[in-house]
Amino acid sequence: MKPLINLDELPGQLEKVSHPPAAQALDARLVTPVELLRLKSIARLHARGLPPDVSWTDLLQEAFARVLDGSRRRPADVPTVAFLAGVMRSIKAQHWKRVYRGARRSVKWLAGMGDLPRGELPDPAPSAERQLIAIEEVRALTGLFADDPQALQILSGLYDGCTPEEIRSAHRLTVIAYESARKRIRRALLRAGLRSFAP
Amino acid sequence: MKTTRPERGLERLLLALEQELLGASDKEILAAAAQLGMQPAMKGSSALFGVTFALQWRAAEADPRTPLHKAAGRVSRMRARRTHKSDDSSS
Repeated sequence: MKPLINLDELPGQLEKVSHPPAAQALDARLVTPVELLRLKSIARLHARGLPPDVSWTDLLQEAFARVLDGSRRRPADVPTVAFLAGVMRSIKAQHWKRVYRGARRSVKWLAGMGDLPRGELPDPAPSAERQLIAIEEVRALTGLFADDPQALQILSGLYDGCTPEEIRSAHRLTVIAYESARKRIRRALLRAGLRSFAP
Repeated sequence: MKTTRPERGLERLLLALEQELLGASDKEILAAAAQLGMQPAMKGSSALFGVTFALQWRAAEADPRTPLHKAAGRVSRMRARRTHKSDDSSS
């Protein structure tokens, strides 16, 4: 049977990018295929809080690129996957800084045009944008668990920064119920993270 | 009552969920892939779409400022330098 999409015969403007940094890391045996899948899910997860011009693939490949080019060195006591997850978080923070810097520059430029106060004025727009993205993404994440009230209780507690004990006592969850809801959360996140085209 | 700023709440949530994914067993990961009909062991498996291979708009890839293009270029240059060095030292 002919595959629905043959990646070697792509139509129009789409092009296959072969051997990106993650593939090179696999060749160099820096990671295993299962670790790559785990990292894909983590990149997908963190992409939920990214500025709109950056994708999860960018986040993942840039993290690998920094490790491969030596600009980020893994301490011996930190597992590779946990280290790469940390690098992705730091790249994400850098992207937001870039967005804020751009906004401040534009306000500075405006300030030079007339009698506005000197210096950098805080522009509420990026923060508002980030808040809007966060609201949308929390909605999308909780949507994955629409039929699972216990999972939603856990997510809500984590969102508010509660400890597992606080969540369990607030919702009268037994340890077994809490652990089994966590397992369902993990499975749903993995399924969402591994899909080729996730919502 | 706690009021949480959405972006801070999301970051806390993502961090906690990242820990869940870091703690997931290999078996759980492979089971999730199997549920989606993916066979990660196969070359070119859709499970590794965006990881070991990716698709980009041709126009975007031609633009050297795109993050993926920059990352791939930097690693290729670094690897070329290393190969060059090892060739020099072996000769």
